[in-house]
Amino acid sequence: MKQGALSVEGLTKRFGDTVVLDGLGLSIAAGGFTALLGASGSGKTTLLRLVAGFEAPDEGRILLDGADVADVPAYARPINLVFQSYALFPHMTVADNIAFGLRREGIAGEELQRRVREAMALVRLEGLGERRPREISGGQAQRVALARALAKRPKLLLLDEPMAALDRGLREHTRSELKRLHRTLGTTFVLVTHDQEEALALADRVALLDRGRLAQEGTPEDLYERPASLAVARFVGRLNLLEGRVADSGGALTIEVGGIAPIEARPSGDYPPVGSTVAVGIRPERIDFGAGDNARTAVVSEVTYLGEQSVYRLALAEGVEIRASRPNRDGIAARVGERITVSWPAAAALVFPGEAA
Amino acid sequence: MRRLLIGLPALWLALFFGLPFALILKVSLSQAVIGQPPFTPLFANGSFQGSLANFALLLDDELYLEAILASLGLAVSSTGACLLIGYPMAWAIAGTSRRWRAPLLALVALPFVTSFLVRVYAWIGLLRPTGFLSEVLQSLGIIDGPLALVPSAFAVAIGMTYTYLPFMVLPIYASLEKIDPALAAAAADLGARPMRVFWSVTVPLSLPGALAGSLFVFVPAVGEFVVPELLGGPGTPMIGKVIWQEFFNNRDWPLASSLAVVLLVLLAAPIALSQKSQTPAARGLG
Repeated sequence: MKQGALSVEGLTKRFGDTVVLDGLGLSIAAGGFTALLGASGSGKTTLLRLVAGFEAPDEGRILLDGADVADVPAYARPINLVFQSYALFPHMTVADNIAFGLRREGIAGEELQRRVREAMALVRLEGLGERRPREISGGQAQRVALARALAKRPKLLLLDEPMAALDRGLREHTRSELKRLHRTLGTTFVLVTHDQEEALALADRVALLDRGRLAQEGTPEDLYERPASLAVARFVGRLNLLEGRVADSGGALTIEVGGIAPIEARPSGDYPPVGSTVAVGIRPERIDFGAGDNARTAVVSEVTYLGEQSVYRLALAEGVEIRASRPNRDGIAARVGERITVSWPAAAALVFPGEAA
Repeated sequence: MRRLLIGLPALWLALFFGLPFALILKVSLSQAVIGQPPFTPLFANGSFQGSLANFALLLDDELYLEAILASLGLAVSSTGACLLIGYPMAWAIAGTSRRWRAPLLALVALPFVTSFLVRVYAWIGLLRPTGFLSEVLQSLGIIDGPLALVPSAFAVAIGMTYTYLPFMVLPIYASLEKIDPALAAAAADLGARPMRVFWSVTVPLSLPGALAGSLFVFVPAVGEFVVPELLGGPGTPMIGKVIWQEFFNNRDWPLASSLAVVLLVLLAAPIALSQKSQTPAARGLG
């Protein structure tokens, strides 16, 4: 059986009067690659510190493979962390940094050498063993931090914002490196990040935290296509938001929005009652140029060219604007000032009860 | 502008160290005479009259060697005591919350607002047979008769440690405070127990501060003679005291100057040594 299943139950952590984690419950399967996603203040960093053992929870349990580790000190947990700042020991060589954790397990001599070499090979650091942390690049430092944590063969590897200190070019490379490491090792990887793009790109499961609670847990596709709440829909990906009132719920939902023709929507799940206020969300890439469901005319008020795609700002009526994105495969689809017909499938509209704000 | 900034300390050193040292060196090569000034000129009748006779005399008379050894011994033990007490103090202050650090550091520096001599006399008041400590211990029934702690070598140790402790605490605190707390967390995460974290991460990274603090204590402690004079018994005089006596009591400026030169050379050695050892440590700190 795979090891490294993590679950937390009723996890609560307060700092003074601030409740940072509010009875959080979450399960992470062994061997998976899970992203803990959230804005700053969502509690994701506190959760990381609790799981690593740097803080003790006020309430709740932290179970690693079924055993409660909440009272196990950090040095005794089979969990290792790659720090955001990497936290390499500046007074030690790269090899000594990697050997540090192994020495704590009493590993020495030939075995120590072998394990250090193995860890360095794993992250392709060969030949840098005698360097000091200040003599290597940021990307190399990150790989040392990874090797140092992975050398311990933890059941669970925590990654704290691993891309934050890397420049753009290195990020994509690092992403595929992390995916390769995860495939090779089968260790449970838990990534903590505020960057939804990073979470979607890397993880096979995403847990979105919002104000100390779990907002939604699922595949990246679940969170993007079937967000459980307006908060999730807004945090993951881009969204056009309109507020309206349900006028009819026979067959499709008919939602009246001020200033424009009613919107027809077929959201999955239960329909909100007639007369209630709802927020309607439409992803920019679901808006088609041409006839179809919800067809209406729009005036292009702005075009942002982004290379592989362009983003169009469309005025549906006075004061009602939405954004649409189209790939640039066939060139730019519309010019500023042009009057075009746009539409979107009724099933593409996400409908949430309550106001849009 | 850059040149000026680098030039200022150089000018300072030249004016307040180089020039006086050159004068002392010059006097150390001449001979004592009764007159004004109380030493022979280096150049007379168109020829160089200087000699190393004073330095030869220092080697001849055991008194000087003993004084130097006594001073070095006192400086080493004071430095050791300050390190043993000062490091934990600095570590404790660096470990408190940000809110407490400034007031605690202010408390460390607080003794400086009173005169050094007053503070040493206060210790006499505390430690003498009819003093506070003796009286309290007697009234508690811990000791029978009065406790004569002054004058004693113990009193000197207390006085020296007390006087120089802030010079040890402050640089160590400065280096501890700079250490990224994530490093200790990383060490713990990798399986290090608290003591191991301390010895493997905290101590090596605070070594530059401990070295600086040790120098700040050691160097002035070698020349110190007020504390041993006031708190110690009539034993071997300290080198600082001997220089004083040669200058003012015996009016043998050349001999006193040669002693000062020897002392300076002795003090320059540990500084040069620490500079050498500091370079790799500083490299690691980057």
